Amino acid sequence: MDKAIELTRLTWRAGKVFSLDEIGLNVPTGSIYGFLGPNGSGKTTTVRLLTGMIKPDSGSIRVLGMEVPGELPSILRRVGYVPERPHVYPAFTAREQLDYHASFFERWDGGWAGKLMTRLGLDPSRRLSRMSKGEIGKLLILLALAQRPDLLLLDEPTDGLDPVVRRDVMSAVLDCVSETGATVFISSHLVHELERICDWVGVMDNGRLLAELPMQQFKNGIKRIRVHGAPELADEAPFTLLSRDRTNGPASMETWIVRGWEEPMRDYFDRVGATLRDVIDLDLEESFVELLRSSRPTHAHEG
Amino acid sequence: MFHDLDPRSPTPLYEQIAARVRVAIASGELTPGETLPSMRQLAQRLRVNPATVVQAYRDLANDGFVETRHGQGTFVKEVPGRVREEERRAHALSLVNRLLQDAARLGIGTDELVRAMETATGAEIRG
Amino acid sequence: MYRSMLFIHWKQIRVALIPFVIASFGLPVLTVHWLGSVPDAPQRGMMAYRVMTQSAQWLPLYPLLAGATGITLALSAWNWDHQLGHVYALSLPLARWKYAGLKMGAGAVLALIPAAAFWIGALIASASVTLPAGLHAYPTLLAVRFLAATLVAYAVLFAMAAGTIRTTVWFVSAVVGLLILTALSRGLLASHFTVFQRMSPIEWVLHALASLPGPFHVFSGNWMLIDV
Repeated sequence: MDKAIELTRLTWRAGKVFSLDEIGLNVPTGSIYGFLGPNGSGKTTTVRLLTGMIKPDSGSIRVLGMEVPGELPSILRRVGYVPERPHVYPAFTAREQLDYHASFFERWDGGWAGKLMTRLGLDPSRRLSRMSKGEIGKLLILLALAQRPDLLLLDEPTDGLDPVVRRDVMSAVLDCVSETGATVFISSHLVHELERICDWVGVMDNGRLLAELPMQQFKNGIKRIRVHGAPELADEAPFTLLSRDRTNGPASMETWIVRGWEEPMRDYFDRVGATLRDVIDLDLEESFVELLRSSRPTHAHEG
Repeated sequence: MFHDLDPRSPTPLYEQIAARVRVAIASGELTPGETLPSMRQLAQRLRVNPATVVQAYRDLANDGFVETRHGQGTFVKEVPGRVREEERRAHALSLVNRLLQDAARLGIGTDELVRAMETATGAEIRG
Repeated sequence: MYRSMLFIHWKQIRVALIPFVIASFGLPVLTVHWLGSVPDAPQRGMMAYRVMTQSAQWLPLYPLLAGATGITLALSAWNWDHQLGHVYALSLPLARWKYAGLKMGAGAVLALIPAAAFWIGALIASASVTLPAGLHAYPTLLAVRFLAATLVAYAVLFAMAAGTIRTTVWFVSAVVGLLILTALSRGLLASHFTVFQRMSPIEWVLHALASLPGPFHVFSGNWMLIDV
C-alpha cells in the first residue's frame, strides 16, 4: 500500500454557498503531509469525509488501502484522530478518559501513554473541564498517539495553543514518526509551523485543491524576482507568471512572482531586453500566500 | 551547532544538515570517534521530519564522513587531510558567494568588498 | 469496552439515580404504612376492604415511577454524546449499532439498582405488616414487574434518545402538544363518547396499548402489593 490516503474526484455540496469540488488527493505512506489552506477552504470538511462522519456526493475515499465507509471500523482502529474541537468528555478525569479510550483500541500502549503523560506534564487526576486549552490539546494528541496508529489525522492540532505547548505537541508527533514510521496528515493554517516538518504539501482554497507536490518543489518553485525594464507582455516566458507589481520602487522596476523558476531562465530577460536584478527565495508562508493570491479572481487592476 | 538552519533556502534541509556536519568535521569541531546525536534526538532538537535526518546521515555515511553502527549510533570517521581541506575550501567559497550575492543586490562592488575586508582584518589582501 | 460503557453511564446518572432509588424504596413502604396496624377480629372484613382501597389509591404511582426511572436512564445514556455532537462516538472503531447496543446493555444493568431498592422496600413493607386473613403480599413478583416496566420504558426512550437533539426536541414537543390538545378537547369528546368521561384520550390510548399482548402489558395489570 503506497498511499495512506487516496481521494478521487471527491465532491461534497452543502447548500448553494460552499462545496468541495472534485478533490483528488494523495498522501504517500510514511510521509508527513501538510494540508494547508485558509479558514473556510474546506480542510475540516475534507477530514470529516475521511473519517466517514459525513458522506460525499460523489467520488471515492480510500484510507490505508480500505474503502470509506465500507470498512470504517477497521480503518478507525488504525487511525489516530485529533479533531478541530475537543471531542472528549469534560466530566472525566484525564485518567478516566485514557482508560475509556484504551478500551476501544487493541493496540493501545499503556506504558507509552504513561510516559507521554509525564513528558507532556499532564495530571491524571485532573478533571478535563478544569484543564486549560493547552492541556486539552496535549491530552488529545496523547490519546491519538498511544493508540499506536498507522495514520495520524490531525485537524488543526495546535490552533489556539501557546508556542510552548505547540512545540510539545509537535515534538510528540515527531517522536512517534521516528519510532513507528506512521504517516501524518496534518491540516493547519499555521503555515510556518509545518515548514520544517512536512515533506509533502497540499494547498486548499475555496473548496479546491490548488496544488499537491513535495515540499521542496513547492518552496523552490515560487520565487520573487525583481526586473528592470520589463516588457509589457510576458507571454513567452518559460516560467509561469503569477503576478506582477509595478507600484513598489522606482518607475521601471517591477516585482514579479513566478512559478516553476529555474536558473537557465535568466536568458529570457536578456532576450527581451530587460535586466534581472534579483531572485528572492520565498519561505513556505510567502509561497502559500502568493499561490492563493494568484489563484483568486483579481478585483483590483494590476500595477 | 545547527542554529542557522534555513527552511527558506533552496538547499534542502537534509543537505544543510549534512553540510554543517561536514564542515564541523573538517574544522575539527567534531573529532573522529565522537558520536553524533541519534537521528531521533536530532529530529526532535531541530524540529524536522525524522526522514530529513535519516537522509542527512545517510549522505554523510556515503561520503565517508560518518559511520552508522546498528544499535550503537553514528560516529565521526577519521577523514583524510586533503578531503578536509577540500571541504573547508568549498565552504569558504559558499560563504563568499553568499556575500557577493548580498553585495550585488545592494550595488556594492567587489573592490569595495576587498577594501572592507582589509579594514576588518587589518591585513592586506591584494599585494 | 462494555465496562467502559457501564462506567460512563454510571458517571452520567449516579446523582440523578439517588431520588429514584429513594422513591423506589419508599413507595411500597409508604403504601403499607399508610394503613396503620390491623385492628381486632370483628373488624377484619372491613380491614381487608380498607387495605385494598388504600393500596388502590397508590396504584397509579407504581407504573409511573417505573416509567420515569426508565426514561431517566435512557436520556442519561445519551446526554454527554449529545453535548459533544457525537464526534467521539463516531471516531471510535466500532459500528454505530454495536456502540448503541453496548450502551443499551449498560443502562439495562443500571436499572437493577432502583429495582433492587424497590424489591427491598417491598419486602420490608410486606414483612412489617400483619395481613388480615385472605390477603397475601407479592413483593418479589411486583419487583419483577417494576424492573420489566423500567426496562420497557428504557428501551423505547433509548431508541428515541439515540437520535439527534433536534429529533428528540421534536418528539417531546409533539408529545407535550398532544397532551395539551387532548386536555382541551376532552370535554368535547366526552359529550360524544362516554368512555372519555372515565378516562382522558391519552389514558385510553395507553390503556389500549397496555392491553395488547406484548411488552407494554407490564404497565397494566396488577400492581397491587397486597392482594387476595
